[in-house]
Amino acid sequence: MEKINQFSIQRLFLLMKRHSVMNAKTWLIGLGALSGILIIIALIQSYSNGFFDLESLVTIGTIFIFIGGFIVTSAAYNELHTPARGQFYLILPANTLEKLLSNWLLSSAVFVVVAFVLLSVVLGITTLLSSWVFNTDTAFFNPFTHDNLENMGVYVVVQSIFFLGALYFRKNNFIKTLLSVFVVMFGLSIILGFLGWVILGEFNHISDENLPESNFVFFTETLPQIARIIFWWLTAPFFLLVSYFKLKEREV
Amino acid sequence: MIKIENLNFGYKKNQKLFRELNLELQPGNIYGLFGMNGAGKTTLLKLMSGMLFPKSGDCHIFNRNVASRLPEVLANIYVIPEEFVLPPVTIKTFVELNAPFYPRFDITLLDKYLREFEISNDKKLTAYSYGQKKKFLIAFGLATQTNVLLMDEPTNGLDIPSKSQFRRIMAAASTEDQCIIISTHQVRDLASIIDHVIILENGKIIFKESLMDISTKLTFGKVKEDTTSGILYAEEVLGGKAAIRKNTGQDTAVDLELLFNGVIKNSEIINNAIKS
Amino acid sequence: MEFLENQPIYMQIADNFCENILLEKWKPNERIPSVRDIAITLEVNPNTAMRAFVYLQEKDIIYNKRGIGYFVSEDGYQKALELKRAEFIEKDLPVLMKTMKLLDISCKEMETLYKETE
Repeated sequence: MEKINQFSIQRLFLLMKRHSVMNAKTWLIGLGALSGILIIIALIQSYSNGFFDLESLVTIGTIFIFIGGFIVTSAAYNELHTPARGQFYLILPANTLEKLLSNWLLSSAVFVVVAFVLLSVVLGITTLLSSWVFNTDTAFFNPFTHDNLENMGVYVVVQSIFFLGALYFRKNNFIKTLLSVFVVMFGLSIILGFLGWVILGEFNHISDENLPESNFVFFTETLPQIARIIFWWLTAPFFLLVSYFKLKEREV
Repeated sequence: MIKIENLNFGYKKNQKLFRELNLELQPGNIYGLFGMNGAGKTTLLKLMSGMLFPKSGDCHIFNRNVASRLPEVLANIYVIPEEFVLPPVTIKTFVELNAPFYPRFDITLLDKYLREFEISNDKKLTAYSYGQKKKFLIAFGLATQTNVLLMDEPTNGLDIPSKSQFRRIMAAASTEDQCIIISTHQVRDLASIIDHVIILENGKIIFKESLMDISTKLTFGKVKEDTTSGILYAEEVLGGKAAIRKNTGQDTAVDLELLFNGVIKNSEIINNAIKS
Repeated sequence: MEFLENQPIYMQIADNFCENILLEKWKPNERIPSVRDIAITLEVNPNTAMRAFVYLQEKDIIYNKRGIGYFVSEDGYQKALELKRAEFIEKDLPVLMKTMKLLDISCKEMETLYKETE
């Protein structure tokens, strides 16, 4: 009887399968629509520029992936938030951790990989189409460049905020999370600005002239290093941990 | 099997729905849970399945706290809610996605119950009527073979033949190691398939007896208007009174509606008569 | 089977069994339907159905072979007859007599009516 309570990969996959099948239609429509829009933009661009502008298309595509991904993430627990359906999700025999990771994996890692693969395919088709119609040179998208991999990483980190939003709010999760992020950022920048003013006093701008050597290193190297560590290694775990407790305490 | 101890619960801080509620239920029985509107029948079922957490006290199934929501506990409970929305998938897909979570789920049982309920298996769940969806959920719930089955108004929305099918299925499906709780207002629909009566009132369980004990200790029947001796509870009816009296040798059918009214009016009198 | 209002369900099931035995639908040492089968056909709780079996077993009308099922006793017919007769005399007859008195029907009249139905 005890073994059934331990974390089970099998149940994790079952949960992912269950969630995917029930949402497949919405996802496919969304991805299809975005791909379509991207193809249209690409063709218009090729027509007016006379060349296939891969770089700007990758930027647009990446923006689509980010926004689309955050919307998908925000809807990760819609089943739970509908009272007449949430009860079935709550009594589904699985760990809280399994119920957390299944939806998180789908909306973070699985999503971002699928999305970038799809982007490569869509851009590949488009560049061929463009060269055929407008005689432009072909350019192929490589999702495995450093920048793209870093973008995927950034997505996974920021996504964790929307993931908490998906659990925290019961309706309009995407907009509410977005607003909350703005409010928090705004508040944080005021506090930081104030702190900076208090600490630095007359040093209004940081340059090597008005900063002692040790402080200079702190502000130009240590602080950014700390910020990087916080962003890359602490943000997602923190939001996931809060999400875990949110899910555990969730009642119908 | 199910043990609720000193449970307190309220949706709002100073509004208590349950006060120090205690209840112990045994396998092999079908319990009828009755109560007036707003007595908290549905809430009690939600507490028993871990959908809600008690403010204090707890609910155990097989000595495991339900609020822990451990897979071990959840794999042993199925709930058929009164209000529900099913996903827009076919029965086959629904089963494929949900059944693997229940270790004892039996597909042949599901097919058998669906056949009995005359539910064809080819449409999306959203295309079925409320009654058909309910019948599907009942069939699915029984096929999971969980030890605890909680049903909230299962016969609501069922047509007349379906109610009969439901009783047949319940008679066939209930097992020795299963504890089934049916919350309902439809006393007449279910009187024949329950074997224990639980009455919930004012935040407490005020009555919990087996039908066997009730029928050996009490008699139900019409008496003349001027009879007063031995009457525990009576209601005016055409040409006399419908009364609950102490059983003096002749077993009668248990009139659940009369019993319910009698218990609500004065549970102490009825309880004492059964205990004595 | 429609349940009459004023008799407990298990008694009605037991009555039904006795009737089957008296009509010789069920013969001595013949196996009768299982508790579960009875519960399903009559749409009752198996525990309630079980009570009817226990009741008739106590009256020696049926007996239980462990792991096989229930059977009509060797003298099941006789026992069922005794039981039903006693029940009739105790329960139904007084009501009948009362009605006869009320409607002024004599025993003679009753006898002729009885013979007519033969």
